[in-house]
Amino acid sequence: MNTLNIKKIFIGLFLSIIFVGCDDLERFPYDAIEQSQSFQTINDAATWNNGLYANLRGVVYGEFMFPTDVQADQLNATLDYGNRNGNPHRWEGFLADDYTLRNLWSAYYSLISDVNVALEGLPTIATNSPEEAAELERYIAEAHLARAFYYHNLVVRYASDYDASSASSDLGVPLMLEFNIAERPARSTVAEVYAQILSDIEAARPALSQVDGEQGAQRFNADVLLALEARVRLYMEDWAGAKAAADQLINSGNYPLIDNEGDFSDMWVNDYDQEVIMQLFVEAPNEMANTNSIYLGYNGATDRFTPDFLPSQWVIDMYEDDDIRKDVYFTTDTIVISGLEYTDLYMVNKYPGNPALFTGANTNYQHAPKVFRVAEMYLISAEAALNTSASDALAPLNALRQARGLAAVNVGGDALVNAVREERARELAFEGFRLDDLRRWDLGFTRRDPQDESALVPGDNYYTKSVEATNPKFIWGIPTNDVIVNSNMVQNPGW
Amino acid sequence: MKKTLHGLLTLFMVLVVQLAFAQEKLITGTVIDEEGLPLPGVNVIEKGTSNGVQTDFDGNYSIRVEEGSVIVFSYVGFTKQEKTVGSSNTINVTLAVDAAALDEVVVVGYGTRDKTDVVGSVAQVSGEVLQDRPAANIMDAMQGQVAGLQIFTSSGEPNAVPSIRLRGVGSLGAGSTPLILLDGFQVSAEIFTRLNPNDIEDITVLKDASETAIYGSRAANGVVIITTKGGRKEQEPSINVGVQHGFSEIANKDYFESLMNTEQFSNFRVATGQISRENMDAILAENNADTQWYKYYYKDDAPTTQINVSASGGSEKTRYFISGGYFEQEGLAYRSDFNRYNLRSNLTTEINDWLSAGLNIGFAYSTDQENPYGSNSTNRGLGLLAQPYYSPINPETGNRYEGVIPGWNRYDPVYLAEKNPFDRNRFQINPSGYIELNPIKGLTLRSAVGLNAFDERTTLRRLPSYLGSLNNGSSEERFRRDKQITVSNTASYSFSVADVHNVTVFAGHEYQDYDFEDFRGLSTGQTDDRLIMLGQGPNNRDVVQSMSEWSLESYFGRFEYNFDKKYYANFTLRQDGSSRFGRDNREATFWAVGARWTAKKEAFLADVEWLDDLVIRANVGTSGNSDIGNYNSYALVGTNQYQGQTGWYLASPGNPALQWESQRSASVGVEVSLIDRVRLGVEYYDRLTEDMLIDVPYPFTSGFSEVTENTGSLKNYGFDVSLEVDVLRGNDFKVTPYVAFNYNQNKVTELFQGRDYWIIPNTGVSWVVGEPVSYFYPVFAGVNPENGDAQWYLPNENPDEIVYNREDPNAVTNQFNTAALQQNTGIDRYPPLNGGFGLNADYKGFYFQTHFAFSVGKNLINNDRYFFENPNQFPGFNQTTRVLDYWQEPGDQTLFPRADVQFTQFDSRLIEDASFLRMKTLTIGYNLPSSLLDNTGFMKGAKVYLTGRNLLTWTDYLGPDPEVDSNIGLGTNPNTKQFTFGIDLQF
Repeated sequence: MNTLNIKKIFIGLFLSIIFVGCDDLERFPYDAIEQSQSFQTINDAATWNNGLYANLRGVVYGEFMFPTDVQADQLNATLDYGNRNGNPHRWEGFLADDYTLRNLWSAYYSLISDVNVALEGLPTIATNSPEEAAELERYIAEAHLARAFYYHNLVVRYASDYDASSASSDLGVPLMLEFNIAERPARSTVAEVYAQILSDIEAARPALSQVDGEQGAQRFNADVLLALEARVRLYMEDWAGAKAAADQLINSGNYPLIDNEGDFSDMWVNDYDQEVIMQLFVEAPNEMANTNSIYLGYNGATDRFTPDFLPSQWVIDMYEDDDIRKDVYFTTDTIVISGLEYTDLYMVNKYPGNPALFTGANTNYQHAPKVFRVAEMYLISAEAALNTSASDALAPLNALRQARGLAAVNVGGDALVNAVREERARELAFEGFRLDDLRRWDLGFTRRDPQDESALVPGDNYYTKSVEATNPKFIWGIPTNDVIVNSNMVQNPGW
Repeated sequence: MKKTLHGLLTLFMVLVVQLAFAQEKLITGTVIDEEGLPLPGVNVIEKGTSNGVQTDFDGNYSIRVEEGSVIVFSYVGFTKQEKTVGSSNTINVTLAVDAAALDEVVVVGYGTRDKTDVVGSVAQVSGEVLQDRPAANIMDAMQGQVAGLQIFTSSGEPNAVPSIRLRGVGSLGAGSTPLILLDGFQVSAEIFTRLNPNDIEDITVLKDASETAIYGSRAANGVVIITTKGGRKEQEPSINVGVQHGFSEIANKDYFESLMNTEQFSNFRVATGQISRENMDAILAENNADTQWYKYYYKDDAPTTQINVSASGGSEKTRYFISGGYFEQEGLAYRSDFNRYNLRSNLTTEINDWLSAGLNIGFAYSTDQENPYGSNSTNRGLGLLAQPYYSPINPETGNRYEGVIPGWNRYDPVYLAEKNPFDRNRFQINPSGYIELNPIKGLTLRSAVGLNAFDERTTLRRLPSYLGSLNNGSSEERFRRDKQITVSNTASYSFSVADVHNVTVFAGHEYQDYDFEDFRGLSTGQTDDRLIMLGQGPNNRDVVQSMSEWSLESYFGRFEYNFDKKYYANFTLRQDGSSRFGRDNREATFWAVGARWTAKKEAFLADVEWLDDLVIRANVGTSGNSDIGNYNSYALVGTNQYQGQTGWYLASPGNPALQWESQRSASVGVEVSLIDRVRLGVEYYDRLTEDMLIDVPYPFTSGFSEVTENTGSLKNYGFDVSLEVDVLRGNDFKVTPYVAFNYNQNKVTELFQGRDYWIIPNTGVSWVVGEPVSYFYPVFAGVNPENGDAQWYLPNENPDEIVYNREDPNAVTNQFNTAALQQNTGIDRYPPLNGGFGLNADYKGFYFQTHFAFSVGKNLINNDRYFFENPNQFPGFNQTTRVLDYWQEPGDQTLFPRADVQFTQFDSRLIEDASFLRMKTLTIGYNLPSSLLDNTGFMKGAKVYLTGRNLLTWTDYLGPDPEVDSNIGLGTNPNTKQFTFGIDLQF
């Protein structure tokens, strides 16, 4: 019967439809690849290397730089600071669950695990020529140097000061040298951490010494390695080693000191790189760095400033009028705080923003992060010399002073020590060194002499706060997450 | 229109049937029901022809037919009758109620059932409840309607999508939203703001395992099925037109009115030493306004409008429903509104007696804007911190400042909204179609395809005239496409043995594929408001693209048996495979068993007159949850960029062992109907979720802070109650109050890493084995009256014992430290009691409806108070009047400590009881009497009504809105109330 035939046809069609729509269930993302597939060619190695620098850019400046300055003695909170960074500034209420110390710790360890994955994968790549092999060696060296940099920042912030007599028992930070997500590491000692840092620097040295330094280098090279080594050895109190590395950079002549205000301002506004040993690549809108935005608070609509923090008067008074740094590091303009206007207060103007990087009509405080600069080397050389042969400190100290428009000094003993320390405070102000310097010199501090109390938050923990050198919060606590999840982790005292 | 149709028919008849004219005669009569009441609208049709009429309001009809022809009398809900035309010219008919047909047909998994045959617990809400509500989201009307279905809307934005849960929170890591189906195909929760509520026939909620298991892995949290109207067979076409207009306001203004005024605030500032009297007076001399800032951040009387037109009808073989609708609602915040155009065409037809097909197509075009200034922004959420002595009104012009408000130093919100426009429009299409074959009796083969797809375009701009970035604007254009396609093929065979054993066997296969892509272009540097396109910005040009997808494949089957429609049993089995899980764990199998006993049909209950119906059910089953990200199981390398070149880094560690979260649930329920007036349903359930998908915390030293793993288990148990009583019922009037509520308890039964408890950092929420999900916070011990210190109770010293609350007045401290002081506050995170109640009444043409929704035992951390009751943390910013109660001298018993101590910390004081009762609906309407309508000749129905939404809110919560579905409320865009007036006409 016709109807039956038609029915059969339909049933047949129907049954065939059943098999439409079967498909496989493997779905891969479009913006990521599987880890096991990413170490195959030398191009993959180059890509991992790029990733390393992009990540490095994410852990300098901004909240990786200013929280310790906020914690120290040179800044005062204004009435409009909105409790941003309030806990580090007050010390009281700065606890182990604070995002400030958690973000730093987790960021560095995240990048360390990246380096560990790279160090495991890179050597497995087959190369086809001696040039490629050399290139691969260089990538491996750069990974080692990055890891040294991260561990140095961690051990300085989260562990006791290096003290040769106790370094082999003082708790440092956990050393992760292999990617293993299940591991629950205990803290290594300070001595072990520094040994690892130096070992990574040595592992990087052969390949990186083939790469010449240059002003404003955007990747690691022989000079960057020396700069990191100088810094590390200073903190390790290896005075001779620190001075040797610093002097090598100073004497190379690659980075002459700037001696005029025009160029010096150019350095901090337009990223002029004469003095800069390493400066990371930044470009709007996709490759931006963290910003030190707490110092100005510019409002384009009203052309007024509302900074979160103002420097104290004594900080400004540290600079003589001839000092080319004074008008570059500080500025006065119309400030509005809590509805009142102020026209003669100094603000920190070290990070005004590079106009080439603006994303709107007004500043976004972006500029290329200066990871290592030669002025720090002069100061390392001077400070190291204080502990070996004090008179050797005068040469680097005066070279820096004269470049900055100050007269040379000829002092000795305690006066020389103070001169070196003051110069360091002047030169490296608001670059994240202050709290670590106070610790290294075993000094407490007292906030004093604010610019104008009516613009500042009053109270015990603000512009009159005193902190003793033995206060446990000079060292940051291990984030609560790690203390709770990892039973092998021991918290720092006082946290 | 009917007259014209009649005219044409008659003409046609006259032309064609001329030969038989001599034998045709006029038959008249009346159609009544078994109680003697006339039945209007009954179809009186000459069998086999298109010659037909309908009975009028008095049940009378007249029709011209040949002697000897058969007249069919049919009416929905009544048994059809046929009468042969004999010598008499009068045929009166009494139609009997068709018991089976009158009971609703209920939509269940992959099919429909008569309500009397449903084994598991299913709740159905008629589409009428959803109509004419002044809200863009249709689930708003469902709040408190179904016992166990908890609906919260956390924002007053017109495009807000509610959060929905059935019978508690099913998972601590994966999603807890039920599976949502539109005409049988899966859609996402956003559908609730894209559907025209007048298109909806009903919403059915499947609660029990025996009903949800057929949906397997997606149904662990229940199933919500939305069915659109399809018209009825053999129904005269009818056209409906509805218009509604009204306005919106903030639902509850208590919080907004609690900020200090100029006098209180200025005196407070001086008294607490924030500012000297002279400086304060100097400011007041220049700025002496007394502004209530909420009135400038939120509008009053924002308009809302709806217009609907629909037509539906059907012949013997085909039925249809077509509609168009328009909805618009302006939000109360600036740059906030929602407009929607809907179009729908639903068609079902029997091609012949073994083949039928259907096609439903819905279109929605919506444009919306949202206020972006959320929780932490002083441009709305924290805008109330503005000092009351400043004013946004420029004294020179009398209008608002176009730019920065002097003193407050922030942009005026209207200015900000105008200079930073945002427009999003979406074109959505939801077609679904099927072909069904019935080759032999009892066998149904069905093949169906459904699509849920939309294209969305968004434009964001910063105008170059914006003072915040003068002559340097920005422009961003985004495109997004989402597509979800489902193909399902099913076969069902029903047969009876010896007339009492009824068996249905059902099997099917389904495949689902979802993908989305999104890209955008951006540029800055535009200099003129009139030239604002992407190409006109020379700087910061950027492009971004992302894509993502998942797929699911399933096989399922069901076996149903009933004995004489008295004893029922069913068994369901389903296997699902998902792309979200690792290769080794892709598939999972789920099963369920259910039983039902229609006790009333038993002989021993047949004579019990006061008992109309008694049904007892029980079922148990498993389902699963896969509501996590699409690629969590892989170890992935992500990309970044350095010097313009791509870089790689380890982005996620992956978990190849990742698998389904599984849930086993059991329930028993009873349904009784008494004295023809009381209908009561009670169900008890128990859900155990195991292998929970949780983001397990890892130490940061591992490089990651959390990894999704299957670990831990959670239990939810409780009961659903629904009760409806016809308190009064008569010929002209009816009053029916009702209540539906759910009481749920949750309990964490196992955690990860062998822990007894885990505090989720910075949330205040903690998971404790053996306890419900609770808040862990330092517990405030009050202000010491002797010295004005703020004090907190010391918890138990042993850290393992902080799960036991300790409030010893002799063990307190005045040093605040979250980590050291946090302990179990004993306060539950999730509200146990949720539901609604209301009343439907009608009298003659008037009708009255009111519906309330409530949540009891809801607790919310009021983060707003940290900003508004903390003067020494935020000196110079306005606070609420509560801060005036601070300690000043020994002996004072006050809310707050001395002025130099931080007034508010994140402690138990901020955990507030956010239980609330809202009057969701209040409607008064009038149906015009048919006597009036008959005069028009073409109108069949007309009604006018006033309706209000969220008119009243009762709550103790001090913040802007207690309904926020979260652990923390901050800067919430508050829910709104509406007053509207509407007219509905039927032709």
